[in-house]
Amino acid sequence: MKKNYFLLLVVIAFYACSKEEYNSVEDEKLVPEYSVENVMFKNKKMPSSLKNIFSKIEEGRNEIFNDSILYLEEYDVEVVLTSSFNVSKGSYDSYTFPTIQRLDEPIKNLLFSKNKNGDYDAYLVEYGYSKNDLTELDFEEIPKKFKITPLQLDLTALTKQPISYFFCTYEYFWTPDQGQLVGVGNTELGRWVLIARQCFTITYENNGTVGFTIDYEEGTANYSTGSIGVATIPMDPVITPFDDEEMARMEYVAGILGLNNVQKSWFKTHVQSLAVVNFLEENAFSAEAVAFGKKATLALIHGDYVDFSYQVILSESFKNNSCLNGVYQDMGNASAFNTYLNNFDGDMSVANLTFDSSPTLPVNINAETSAPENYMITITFNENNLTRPRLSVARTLIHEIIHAEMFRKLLSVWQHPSLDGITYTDIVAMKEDYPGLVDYYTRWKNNVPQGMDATSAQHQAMAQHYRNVIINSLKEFDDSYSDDVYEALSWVGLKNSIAWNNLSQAQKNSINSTLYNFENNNQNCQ
Amino acid sequence: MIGKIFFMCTVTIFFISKSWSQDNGKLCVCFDQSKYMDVRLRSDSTYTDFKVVKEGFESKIKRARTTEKSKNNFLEADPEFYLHFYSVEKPDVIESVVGLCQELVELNKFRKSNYKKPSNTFSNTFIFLKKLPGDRYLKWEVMLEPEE
Repeated sequence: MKKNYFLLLVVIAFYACSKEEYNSVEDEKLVPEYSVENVMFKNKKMPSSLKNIFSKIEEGRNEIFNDSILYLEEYDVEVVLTSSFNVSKGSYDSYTFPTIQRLDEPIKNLLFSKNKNGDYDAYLVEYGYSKNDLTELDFEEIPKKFKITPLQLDLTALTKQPISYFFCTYEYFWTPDQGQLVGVGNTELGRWVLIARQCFTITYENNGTVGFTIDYEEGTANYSTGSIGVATIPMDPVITPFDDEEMARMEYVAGILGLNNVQKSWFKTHVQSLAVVNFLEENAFSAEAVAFGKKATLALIHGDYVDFSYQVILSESFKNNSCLNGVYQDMGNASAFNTYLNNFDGDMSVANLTFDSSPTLPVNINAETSAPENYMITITFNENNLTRPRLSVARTLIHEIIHAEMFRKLLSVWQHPSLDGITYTDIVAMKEDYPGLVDYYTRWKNNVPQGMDATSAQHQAMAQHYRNVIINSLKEFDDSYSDDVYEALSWVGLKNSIAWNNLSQAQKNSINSTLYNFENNNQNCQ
Repeated sequence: MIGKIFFMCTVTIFFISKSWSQDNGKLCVCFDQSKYMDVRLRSDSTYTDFKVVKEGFESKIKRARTTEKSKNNFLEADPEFYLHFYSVEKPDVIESVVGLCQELVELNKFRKSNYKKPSNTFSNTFIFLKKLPGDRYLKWEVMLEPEE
């Protein structure tokens, strides 16, 4: 079933501008040099009379309608109200909304077109071709025909008392294809005919659900003719990139994520949202998945990059920094980091990480790793400290990832979205899960040996147990240096540790000399 | 004495400000070691450790209070009150600083600006200068020990 639907298709777009043959004479005459604008639903720029229509939609909507889709049951059409295309020129003004439909169905749009009184008439525009036709057929093969059905949108009837009324469906046809006006003698009117095809009596019901019955009165329609007039020239189709199932899932997830109206509006109109939807579904909407989904959505809105496979976010500034992004990619991105960490410990992963950069960190900070907030750990690089070799930047990257992993271990035992409020007693209680890390936290946190400057418990643990992870991952990144370079690099940031203190002065001097020569004799990353 | 050294540093900065190189991208930091910097030189002077106290943590009492406050927060690293620099070479005695640095600042100014390097300096190493009598300088090429 789903295969038949649109799959992350195109951004809503007009095709008219490139198809001059289509209504070319009328277009030139009636709406020359029109302006086209994408207008968000409820936009203040919308004319008041049109806003009144939407207000009625709002009033008439009940729980079976979501807030972005209007279902015209009589036509079995779901109109996406999130945004529309406004076409205007002089007195001509129209708003076109896409509908949800299958690839092989004729494309339909809901068109609101300004009439002589300044109000907006509603039309259902059905094109003579489907999305499949647009992609598969040459332009010459596409049927140059569409029909316009005037709608009586008495939307207040949707939830009001039962009401019946009669209306007809009129269709405009391109006369050369129909021939009804042959012999009428007025060739100026001969381009379009308005035909009342069917007339209905509709009875709306209000019994807790919205529904209606239709009495089809065959034979009540009469031919009529006329010019289409200025107000109802439809443009080329507006196509929603989503099918109804996708829209329903997006609607649900937008609610779960607690997005505000602006975020919701973005979420329902961008194909990237489906990645968030899929991620949450695959992770059974766990609290952690929802937290990441929210972060990921905000990141996507901001233009950041999200790797859902490994739950990693790259900020726009990180992604656009050639040094940082280059090192990240060359290290094999999240997949390779995961492997490095897994080789050390099968439980380790890079999940819930954001890589960011900042120009405001102090000069002595290469990067910092935040404690988890709502499961998310952020590594922020100092953009001003990238005038050093790429291998040095790669070292900082893996150093910070290990910090993140240590936070993640604590979080997994603490079983809260953040580590706020954690106490000494809580740390001690984790001893059975991660005895090594707990040991460092309890042994060194408040007992800095005489003559040493303080460092974190994490640095103590890293210096003692994780330097091989750093060395091995750096060799994977670039194996062109001698072993003493990797060994020396693994100590950077860890020199206040007990492990460093246990080295002889000669060893320390040798490491520092190696680092000095390495930093000064290699091309800088930036 | 401290005031005299500071004055000499300032005068040095003033006179050479127009003449140093625009090519090497290095920041020179002129210091008087008595107040904000602890310098430890190995006996053979082949290794020098520089420890610069961060602004706001100059007094022992302030450092002790900050340490005490941090004891109950198990997430944060213990507060670090110093910036560490080191040199792995003997210092040179030089007669002039012309062509040596992109920018030259006095240590206290460097501290006050949160140790930010001027935007036109791009080297990851620094030059520390100590003014000596007779218009001479003691010069170290130093590395900053980063915090990560």
